[in-house]
Amino acid sequence: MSKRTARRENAVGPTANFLIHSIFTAVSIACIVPLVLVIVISFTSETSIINHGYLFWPEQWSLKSYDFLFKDASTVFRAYGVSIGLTVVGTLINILIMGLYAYPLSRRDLPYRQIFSFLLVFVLLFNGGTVTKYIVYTRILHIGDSYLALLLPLLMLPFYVIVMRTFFQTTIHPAILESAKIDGAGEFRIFAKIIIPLSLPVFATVALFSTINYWNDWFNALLFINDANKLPLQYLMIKVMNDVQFIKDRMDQVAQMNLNLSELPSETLRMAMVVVGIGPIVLSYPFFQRFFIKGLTVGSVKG
Amino acid sequence: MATQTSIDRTVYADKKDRPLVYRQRGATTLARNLMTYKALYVMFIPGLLVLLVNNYLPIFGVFVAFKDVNYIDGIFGSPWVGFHNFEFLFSNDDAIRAVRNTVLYSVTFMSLTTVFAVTVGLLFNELRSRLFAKVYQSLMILPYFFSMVVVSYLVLAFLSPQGGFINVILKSMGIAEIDWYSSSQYWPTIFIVITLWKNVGYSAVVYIAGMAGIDPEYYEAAVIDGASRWQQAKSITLPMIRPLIIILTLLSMANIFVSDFGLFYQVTLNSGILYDTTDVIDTFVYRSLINLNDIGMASAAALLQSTVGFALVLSSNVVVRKISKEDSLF
Amino acid sequence: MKKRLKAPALLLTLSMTAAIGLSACGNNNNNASPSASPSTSPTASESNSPSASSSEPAKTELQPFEVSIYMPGSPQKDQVVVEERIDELLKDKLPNTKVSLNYIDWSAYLEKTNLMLQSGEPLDLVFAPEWYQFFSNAAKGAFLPLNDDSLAQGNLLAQYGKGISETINPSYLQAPVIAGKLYAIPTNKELAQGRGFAFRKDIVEKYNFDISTVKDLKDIEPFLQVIKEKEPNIYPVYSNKQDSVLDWLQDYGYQQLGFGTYINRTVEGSKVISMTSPEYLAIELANDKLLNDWYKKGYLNKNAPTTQEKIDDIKSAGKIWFISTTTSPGREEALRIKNNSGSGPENFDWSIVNTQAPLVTTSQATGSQFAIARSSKDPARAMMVLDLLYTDKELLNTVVFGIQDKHYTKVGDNKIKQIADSGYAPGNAWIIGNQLNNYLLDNESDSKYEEYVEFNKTAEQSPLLGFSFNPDPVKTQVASYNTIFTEFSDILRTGPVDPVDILKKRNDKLDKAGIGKIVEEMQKQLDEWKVANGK
Repeated sequence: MSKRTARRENAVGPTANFLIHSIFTAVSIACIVPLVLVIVISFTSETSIINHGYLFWPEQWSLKSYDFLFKDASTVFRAYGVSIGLTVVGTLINILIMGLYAYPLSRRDLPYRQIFSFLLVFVLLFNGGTVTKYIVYTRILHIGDSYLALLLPLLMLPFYVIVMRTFFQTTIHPAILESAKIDGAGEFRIFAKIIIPLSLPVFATVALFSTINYWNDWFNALLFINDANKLPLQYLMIKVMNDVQFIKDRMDQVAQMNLNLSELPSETLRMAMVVVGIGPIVLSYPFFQRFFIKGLTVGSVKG
Repeated sequence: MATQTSIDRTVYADKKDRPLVYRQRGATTLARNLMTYKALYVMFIPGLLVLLVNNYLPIFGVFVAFKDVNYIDGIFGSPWVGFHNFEFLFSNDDAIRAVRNTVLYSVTFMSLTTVFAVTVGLLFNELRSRLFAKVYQSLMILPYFFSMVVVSYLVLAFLSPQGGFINVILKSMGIAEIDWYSSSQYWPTIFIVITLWKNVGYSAVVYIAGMAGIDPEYYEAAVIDGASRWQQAKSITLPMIRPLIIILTLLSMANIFVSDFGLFYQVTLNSGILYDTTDVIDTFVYRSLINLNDIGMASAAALLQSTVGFALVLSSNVVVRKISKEDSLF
Repeated sequence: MKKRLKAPALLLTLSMTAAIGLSACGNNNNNASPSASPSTSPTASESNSPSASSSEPAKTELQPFEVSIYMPGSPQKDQVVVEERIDELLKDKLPNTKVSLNYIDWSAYLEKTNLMLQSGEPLDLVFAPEWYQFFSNAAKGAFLPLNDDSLAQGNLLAQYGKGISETINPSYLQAPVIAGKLYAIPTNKELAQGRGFAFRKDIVEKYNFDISTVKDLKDIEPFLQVIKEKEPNIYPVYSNKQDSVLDWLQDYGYQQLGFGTYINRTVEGSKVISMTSPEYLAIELANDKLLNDWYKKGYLNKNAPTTQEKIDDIKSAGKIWFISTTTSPGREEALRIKNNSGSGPENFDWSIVNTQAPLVTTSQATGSQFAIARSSKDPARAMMVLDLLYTDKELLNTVVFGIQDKHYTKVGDNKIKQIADSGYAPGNAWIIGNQLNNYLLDNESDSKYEEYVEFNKTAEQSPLLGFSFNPDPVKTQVASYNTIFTEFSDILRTGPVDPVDILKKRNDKLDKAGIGKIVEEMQKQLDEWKVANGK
């Protein structure tokens, strides 16, 4: 049967196709349902949650969490701007320097390349901890409280460099490089004209991961940023929650604080923050996805 | 299989002049190599600079593990205390339990995630509709965006002893309700489900990208030879992403002593009654150091985790080199 | 083989150069501050000048300097405006002195200030209460001693802190002390909190409960059955992992010293015991058992061990009628909470029953205080500013409430109303300076501060006030104690299981992990402290 279909089209048979679709549908539902729940909770009123717990169709809807989050709308939008700018710039720089590092590593003819691999893998494992990093950033480089302090920490992620290197090694035929060299192309030209166009799927993948990293990073903002105008979105979101949590955790010591915690937001707010934070990244996803899905389906459309 | 050998052959062809290079030693060889591959070495520079600033300059922070840090002498002048900061990691039985749990979970998560991610990738490769591929994939990566705190709320919604979705279902089927948060035997399964749910879609992206990079000519040739999709998956797709699988597995060895703190601390609601199956090194260290304000002990724990990971990566790399040199890390 | 060696060798060189470069840098910093300050600051001339007679520092000799104040709170929009006003106010009193207010988010404060202190960043005044690792940081040298004649700048408190010594309740200055040296100046407010229970007024009235009979948790039991029968929407007892009714019980005479150790303060001799000792176990067991009993009887909310709800949300929803609480003047007003249940009064009001009088201990008296960082470039100036915060009412109120008619309006002689969303409301009234000099808010009782003063007079002073424990010699055992204690604490505080076996299991583990060593060390340090302080 498979032979017959193969002649017409290189693809699996209808039964297998149905099975695969069933599997993916089931998995997709498992992935989307919690998101739906998160969105619904973010629009649920607190009282409804206290009385009935989480429901997919709550007794009482409410926009209170969003009101709270956007109470200071200009701050939120500025933080959006910071996050978007940081993510775009960071990701572009990141894929460039990671690609530049990965390409020579993938060249099996390059002497001493093991040293450079080792230098990379070593940092994957050992790090000096927050204190020394803080000293380097603020006392040596003097980039505390600047965008650089948010940009630098997430550059050069060894894991993805290795992924790129492996991808180059398996998919770029050495013969192509050889012929390019014979044509007189320099290494940088080869990188720009051959490696990048042939490796769009892996560049898109790494760019996606880098985007997610930049977008979700709040810890570096916590460490390095004091200027409220430079705070990225996720930090802004998370600090609201963390502040509440922190005060709760230390209630015994801060009992004298006279804080009325019922005025402070809660679970619905946390969910609203997820919704607000996840939006742009989900919207940007199809842009990256193009590159690897396009590559994929080629195998089955042609035949 | 034919494709594999053709790649190997070209690689060999490339290497032809290498023995020559290596036969000559000393500074002249070094200089000549540097000249010949000048451009390639230049490419390393931006990356190396970043590594220097982010990783190598701060790396002597690891010395803190062997020091009793005070503010007057600073990190560098504080007195050395040998392995004193490590003692708490070996001083009670709970530490052993935490190590056992950590390793078991790491290995389980690592192997299951890989198997599932590769499977998902392979199945993706068989989808005929681009639209569906896009939709499925977009949905599958969604769970990755939830922080563990949010996951902990969702899990509580499902497992809560009072009206959790699962208990409601169990009740309606006439099965006795389960008090999940005080029954440690269920948690290994719960962790596996959460980890796969959260990470498979994300991990699969790498493999899908790897498959997308495969030259379509291989498949065309296979079709001419009358190979079925199954045969193509077995003899083209899998071998082509094999190096990726090996490398990613090698790298994940680094984290054998490390676990996702949020998963084990927040999702379990830090329920002490579950510790038999939920206490891992990271949660153990976290609890140990409450109120101690001791960066020495914190660094000691991190250093131990890194060292074990490093040893494992190095030794597995040696094994991989023995079997197939091309797939090794270095 | 040779080839493989190269990488580590290269690495080594790299990190060596880095280390040398950095350590040099680090040394510079450490050397710089103490040696630099005498020359830039007026201290040298100051201590020679007849400062003993005039409390005002010699104004003309002050060099321009900005004192940075670090405290927790959300960064404020109008911070700059307020800083300008403060600088204006300082013009006459401390010429050439400016102040920068640095608010760091609550959740980031500890981590960030620790990093700044560790990396030697120049900070001046740092909010450093006991619960922000004050004692361990002070022991490690993060802060300057304030009453040390051998310090380069001399005895800071004696020279520049006259106003502090005159206004603050003297008990305070006995507390943030290590080996005879004072490392912080506490905020002048209520010295300690008592403990007790709070009952919702409307419920107490409705059922005519005689709450004055309540001396201990078990005395509440008779009321619970009534609530259970008559008030289906109220939990007779509510607890969760964050807030349990076991939290603020009286201490039965056992003062907690930390890390599982106690002393019985009702008997002579200050003998340190551990929580695993039979006498302490009996107390713990009785209360844990009571809670478990209530759980079984259906009084306690069934979701106590797992719920993530915040207790204040449940209070607001009208489902709680009693809690255990700390007590102090104004506590009843602080507990008042909005009624979101949809029926009944607008707010829920509470009546408080005291079960234990306030006891001034080291940790109570150090709950809110400022220290001067060792890295401060001009500690003398920092102390002068701090001093003014205890004596100058206008300055303090500007720091706390901002600018009149911009951030607050006066509604009485000493009473203000804060303007909503005005751009400055850091909520640091209890954090800084002399709280008795703060304006009162419109919802606070006129006599709040008189009550504070009265309350402080009645507070009992612990004989161990000023003693603090340095866990360093037994930190391995302390780490074990931490892991074991936290493993069992939630389950005991939320009542779902019979505590007998759990406590036995926990105590066996604690004994095995060396809690005895902590007791020994505690006793040793306590004895040494008593000898040194002539007690």
